[in-house]
Amino acid sequence: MDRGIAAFVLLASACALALFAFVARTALREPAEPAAITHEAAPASFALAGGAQVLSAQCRVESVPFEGRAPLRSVRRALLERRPARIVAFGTSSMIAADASSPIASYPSELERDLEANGLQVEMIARTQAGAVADDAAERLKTAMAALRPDLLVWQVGTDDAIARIDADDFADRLRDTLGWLAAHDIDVVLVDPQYVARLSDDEGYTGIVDQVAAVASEKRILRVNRYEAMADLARAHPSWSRLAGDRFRLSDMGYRCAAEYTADAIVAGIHAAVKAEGGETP
Amino acid sequence: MRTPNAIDFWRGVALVMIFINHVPGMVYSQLTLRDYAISDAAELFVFLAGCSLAFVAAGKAGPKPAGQVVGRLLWRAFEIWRAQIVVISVAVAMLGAGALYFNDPLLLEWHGAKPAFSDTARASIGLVLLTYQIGYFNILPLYVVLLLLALVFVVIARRSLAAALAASFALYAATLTWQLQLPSWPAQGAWFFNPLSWQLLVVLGFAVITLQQTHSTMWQAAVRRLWPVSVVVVAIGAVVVWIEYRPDPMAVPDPRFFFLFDKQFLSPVRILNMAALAIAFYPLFPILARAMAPLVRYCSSLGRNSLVVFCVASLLALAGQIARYVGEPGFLFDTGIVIVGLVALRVTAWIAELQPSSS
Repeated sequence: MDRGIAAFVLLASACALALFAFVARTALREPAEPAAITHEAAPASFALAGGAQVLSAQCRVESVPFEGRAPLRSVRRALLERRPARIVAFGTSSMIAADASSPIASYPSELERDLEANGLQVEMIARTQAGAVADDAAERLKTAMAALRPDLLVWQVGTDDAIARIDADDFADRLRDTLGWLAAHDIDVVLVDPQYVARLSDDEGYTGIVDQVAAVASEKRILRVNRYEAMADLARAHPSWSRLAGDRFRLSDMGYRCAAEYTADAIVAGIHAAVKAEGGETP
Repeated sequence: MRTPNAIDFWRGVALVMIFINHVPGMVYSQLTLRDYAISDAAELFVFLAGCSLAFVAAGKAGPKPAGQVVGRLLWRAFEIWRAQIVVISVAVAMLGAGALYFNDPLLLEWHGAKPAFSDTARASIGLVLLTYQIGYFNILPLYVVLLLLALVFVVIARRSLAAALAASFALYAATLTWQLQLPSWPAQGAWFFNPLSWQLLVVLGFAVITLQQTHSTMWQAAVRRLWPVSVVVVAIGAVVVWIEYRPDPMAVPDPRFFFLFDKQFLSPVRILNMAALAIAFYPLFPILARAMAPLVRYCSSLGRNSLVVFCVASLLALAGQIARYVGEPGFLFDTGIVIVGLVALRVTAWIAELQPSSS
């Protein structure tokens, strides 16, 4: 027994020492504190006839903020019925809406704010995607959609599949299938592609998933927020943002901040497209 | 140290499958239950927990004193709660270390870990209250609540096993009908495993072993009669999985969780499939014990030390996920992860059995 305890204590001590050495070594090369994130308020008016909305200065990049011209018919219908459009934000844990009193501005709360600044009344619900789409997450998404019955799904898709090193073609097949199901049930969709991560910019497994999100969105005529390219632009313009500083990756934070603006833009454009496609009264 | 028995053996098998399933994307997941059955290793693990509960509640001489049983279950719930706090803390530290070392922000967001880093005050409270869980580290919180619920059912079963089963079924039916859930916090949503429905599997496991102890002859006869039916049900389940059939959640009638294959609410088809698997594979253990004794000894050693082995398996699986993410995964890479994992789990069980109070 004593021998066992001694072996266990030795093993635990070795692990603790290794962890300590690792943390100390890493802490020594931490870069300096970055500047605080600032945000210019989105425009307060919802100009239906206008084109792209005004983006905050830090989110203006060379890449287009979103791709596609798909009409968001269900969202428009909700607005015509004078009720808030029900939106489900689905994705990784940064998509989780924190408690209302939380100091952390999460992606859904920022998106909600940006949409309301555009004059849209929305009901925002956030759900975490657990696992890869090519695994069981697509089925769980369908079950969640059946329970929540949203007008619009804002889906940050691909990250978990890229992390699990799922084959890009398998991922695309399941994504295609799920988008078909959502369309059959009149749920509008805006896809948000995975983050740009400097370390993975040449990783074919990761970029393969990003490319498949774009390809499937284009094929299915779905609005896609171009977060990956936008973040790549931001990374080129601000190389220091890719490094961890003050417990935060600024590029990642800005990716979510800007993705909220781009998504709001895409939704407004989707409503415009629905008005154009269907004619009649504007919301 | 107990000699190998069926419950320990199958629990060890479930632990190995959980370890492999917790490293998503590995080719070896094709060897696990979920590729051949509607239910998976999680159901097997929880069902076997219910089976073990019967031995906690009663010995060979009959029911143990109520105070002793309640005390044992409360202490076990505390042990598992403690294990969850340790394991999730180590998991968060691993993700933080990975993010620092590889300069990779995605690692801070893995499996719902973001609040631990960006909303630490609330996440710390949620972690202790078990309302903050991260992906692949959500079975132990289920277990804690299951043990606390089991307290009630075991006490009822001392008067009437039928009443305990009826109460469990009633809670299950109410949960599926009204979609009762335990909330997550600080993140929105609900627990990945809903204890209010999963409790039925524990009570069924408890009832099966209790009946085996009290009505041995009838029990053996019932298993013999049900065996052919169970084999057919298992075969049908395998075909359903093979053709990738899933009911459309928009198409099924309300209350829809009765008709889906939902894991969170443990839809009835998953329980049915688990029960059929248990009966169909029941005669296998004595055969394996003779024909493949080393395998049986290996799995039984894991099953005997299930809590500590599960904790280590969860952390090894996370290490495997990180390794696959930063490395170049392939067949050999995945084989390495599985071999290292299986050896480490056996070493963990060996160390645990050196302790005087190993269980």
